[in-house]
Amino acid sequence: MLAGNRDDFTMLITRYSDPLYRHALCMTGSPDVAEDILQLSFIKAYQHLAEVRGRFDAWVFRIVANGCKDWLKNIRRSHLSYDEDDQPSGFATPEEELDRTELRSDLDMALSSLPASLREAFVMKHVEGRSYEEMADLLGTTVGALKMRVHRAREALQALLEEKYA
Amino acid sequence: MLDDLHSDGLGEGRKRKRPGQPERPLADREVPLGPPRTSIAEAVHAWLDGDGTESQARRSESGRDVDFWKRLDEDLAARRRLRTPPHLHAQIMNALPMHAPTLITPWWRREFVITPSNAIVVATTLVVMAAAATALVLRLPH
Repeated sequence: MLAGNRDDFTMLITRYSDPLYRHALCMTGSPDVAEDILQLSFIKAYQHLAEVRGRFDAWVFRIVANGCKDWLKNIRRSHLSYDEDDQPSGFATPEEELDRTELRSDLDMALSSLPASLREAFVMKHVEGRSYEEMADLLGTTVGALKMRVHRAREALQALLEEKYA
Repeated sequence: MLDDLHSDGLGEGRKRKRPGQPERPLADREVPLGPPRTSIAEAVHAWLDGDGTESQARRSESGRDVDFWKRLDEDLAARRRLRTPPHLHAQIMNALPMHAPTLITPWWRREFVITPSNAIVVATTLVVMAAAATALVLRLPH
């Protein structure tokens, strides 16, 4: 695999792309940007495959996470919503569908107002479902610091959204 | 947890930010405070972290917060189900170079493994070189 076999690399993409895509999408709020970051990250990973030390998934996660942070630093983005077509609905009525779309849009907007470090911690906890220990391992920080970031992110999100949704 | 959770000045005397509460314009402040925050009970944080039960979280007037987060989790659950768009795998594979560049490591940074045969070769080389050097020195005219 480390020799750069393309077919073997396909397996890695298939295995790890979903959580990485979710991370990039929730960090940037844009499916197009998330796809670009994922593509560039996997190309970079392929080109530097021989340099991998330790777990591939942790290594490629850091590439994607840094890609997201770089993008956030450079772009003052306008709000973008998801492409609805590819995702299953799971809601019965048009009213529920409308509520869902509105909630998604509001949450996107609220997430985009958070500092990148808080948004990253919140997304890793609540969207990717990672444990604090796993997050600490991936981000190279302490469990206590990450708990604080997640708590702050929740408090900020609740302050922004509770008027409408509480 | 030695970090000061409220080091941004929002901690002491912090009140729940509820609708109708007037807010000073950002320009009036000397330092922007970042996004607004509201306080959430520890029991609710624990429940959201998977460390407590919903009934524990609902105690002490936190029922409204629990309902809020259950509502929000409807969208978070949808996000957890998101999959990579099917076309993206092929797109990435098409964009990969045909061959991964091989990493050229300088000889002094390469890993050197000592095996018995390596040790014998090195020792023999050293003995031969020492003998040759000795012979050379003895033949030199004094």
